[in-house]
Amino acid sequence: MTRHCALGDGRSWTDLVTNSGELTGPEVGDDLDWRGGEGELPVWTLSTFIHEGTHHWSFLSPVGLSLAKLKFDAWKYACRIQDDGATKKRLAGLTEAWLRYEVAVAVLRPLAEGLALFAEFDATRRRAQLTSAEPIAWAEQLSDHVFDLPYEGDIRKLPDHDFGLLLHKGLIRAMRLSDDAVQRRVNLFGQPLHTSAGGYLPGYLALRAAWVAAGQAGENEGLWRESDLFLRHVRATTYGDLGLVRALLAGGDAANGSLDRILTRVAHQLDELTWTRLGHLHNTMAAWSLSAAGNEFLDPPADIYLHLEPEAKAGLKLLRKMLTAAAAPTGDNPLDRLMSLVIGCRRFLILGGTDVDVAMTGGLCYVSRDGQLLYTTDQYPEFLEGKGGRARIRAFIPVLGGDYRGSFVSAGVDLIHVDLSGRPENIEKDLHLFPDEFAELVSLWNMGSVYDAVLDDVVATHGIAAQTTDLRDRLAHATEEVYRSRALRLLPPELAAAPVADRLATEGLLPLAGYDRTILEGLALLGLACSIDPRERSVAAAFRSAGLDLSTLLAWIDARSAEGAFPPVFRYGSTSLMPSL
Amino acid sequence: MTTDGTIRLRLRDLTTLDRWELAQALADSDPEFEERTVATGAHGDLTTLMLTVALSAVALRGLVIWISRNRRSGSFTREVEIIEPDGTVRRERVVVHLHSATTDAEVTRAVGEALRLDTSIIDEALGR
Repeated sequence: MTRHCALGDGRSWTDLVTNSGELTGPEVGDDLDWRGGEGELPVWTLSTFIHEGTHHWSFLSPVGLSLAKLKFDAWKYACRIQDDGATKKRLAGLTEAWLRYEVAVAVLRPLAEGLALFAEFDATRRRAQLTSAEPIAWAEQLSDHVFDLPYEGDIRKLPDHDFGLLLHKGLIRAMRLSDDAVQRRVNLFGQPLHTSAGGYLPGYLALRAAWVAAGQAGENEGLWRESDLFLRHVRATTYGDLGLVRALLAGGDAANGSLDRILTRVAHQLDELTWTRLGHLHNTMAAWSLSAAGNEFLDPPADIYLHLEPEAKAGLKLLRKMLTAAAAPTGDNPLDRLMSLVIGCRRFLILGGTDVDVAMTGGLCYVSRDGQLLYTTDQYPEFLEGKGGRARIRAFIPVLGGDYRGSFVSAGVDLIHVDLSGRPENIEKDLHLFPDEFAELVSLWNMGSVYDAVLDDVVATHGIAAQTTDLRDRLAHATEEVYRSRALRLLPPELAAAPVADRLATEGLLPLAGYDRTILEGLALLGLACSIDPRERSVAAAFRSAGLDLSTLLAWIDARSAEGAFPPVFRYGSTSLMPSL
Repeated sequence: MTTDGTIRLRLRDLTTLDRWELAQALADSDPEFEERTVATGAHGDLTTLMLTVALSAVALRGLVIWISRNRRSGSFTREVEIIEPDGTVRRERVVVHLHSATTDAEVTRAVGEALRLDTSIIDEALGR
């Protein structure tokens, strides 16, 4: 299993292989109903929700699926070697799948975190007629907050889509103008600028550098106002990149060649982002709009793929082959069927959970917490009769193409029962998954660590890890260079060179601000406030509300920037601000 | 357990900026910082940062300097651990209201009382 966590919150995570996860904060029973999971997310949980939701959204993609396939291939080879012995072919297959997965995850991790942080801190929808990027749209649907809506007219006369935009802005304001958001961003600034520390800062700065550069090129500043579309575009051109699918899955050149191809493709796509124009953002949005259920890759409208470059065409072919094989598994390996399950069920997003006690006796399952009976149900598997103990209840939603809610109770690998709530016609098309297939999925969430243990053991026993140490070290250094060099493009040349850059590698951006908390909080708020409304008057108001002074901060930045000691704040459209950081 | 009878304070989940500020504010108190890696899976393990410092009058003054940096937000709230000389650990919740009118002396008293420190340490920190 390969978990991606929200910064500063190791308890919220998303697993790349199964795309399952857990959020800290929302409690089933307090925020969400015990049965069916109806309810809302408290506003203080939304930053983490959007972060993890962005991971979920990113992994629900051709690249996410390809990575899951590589992991399944590695598990299958490892199990076969453990059960039936090693052959040259099996060891070669294991080495290739394992190496590709490990290298790709390491190369993509800073990007995954950068995307999630960009969604948390920067992405804001500007256009009423469009839909917010998925993680933010999910937050809009699930939030309980009664927002202070920034509108002075009669709200009842607003068309639906304008009202929707108003709700979006209300949510974004409540989330980003909080002291919690400021502290989260200050914490980000203090992260090391090297990729081995989770990749948060290098990934975020590499994306921000591309965004800033794209807006600077040829009167393209309008791009800076389309942060939500930019987020969607980055996800589409990286996790949705069929060229990267080809790099991940194509046979032929083993080890060195295939691994370099993965790294080169990611670097290429990151560089392409610096040439983004408004037209590209609208093309991405059009691809989304034309596709069924917003999943432009699993259910692609044919016309999008008419002009694909050869690498992407090859990737599409491999993706379709993978989906076809998974849909009708032919072998006797149980993992083949589980792969199909992971494809079908990786759109379930877990909202939160709570520990409970269960006892199954006399045809009834008693669910309780702290000695208080919560409810009983007669819906549980017969083989669990007479059993009981600690369990966990979780609430979930099916994203992309589902309009219902659910909750389930599980203990270890056992699914005890599921409750679904919503209109029957909404639930109907997924009913075949419950409870049996869903039970297998819950089992896999737990069994993944067992398969991982087998994989680790076989990789170590057969010397695969030891034999590839130099190769993996070389690629780790190359990955470091991919992100570090792109992140440093945000900074003046004097700062991007040693020894300053070396200090940033361990201390993040703190040295640039002289470790001054007031400056750092101001920088954090500047980016957050500009994400909502970049006009100077509006940003100044946000600063006043927070007890800070915008003009003092801008004077400090301008003076340092003139000396080449700090990246500038750009002015555009006569009154708008775009901070580099 | 300490052999010199001192009470120690432990702060968990510090940020990099907290560490830098605390290292400055507690420079005369030999603060010990410890990084711990929390395994979360094959990749992306999280590192948490922890401070331990002997609770003297000098350290209390340093803590007050650090806490006062949060003056803008209006309040400071943090869970801390107090390690008694016999090794017993008690958890305290420190809440200080940092309105602009609050003096360092008032913050010192509030922190000392929240930590349930001996009044002699609080008085010494106040220069009495």
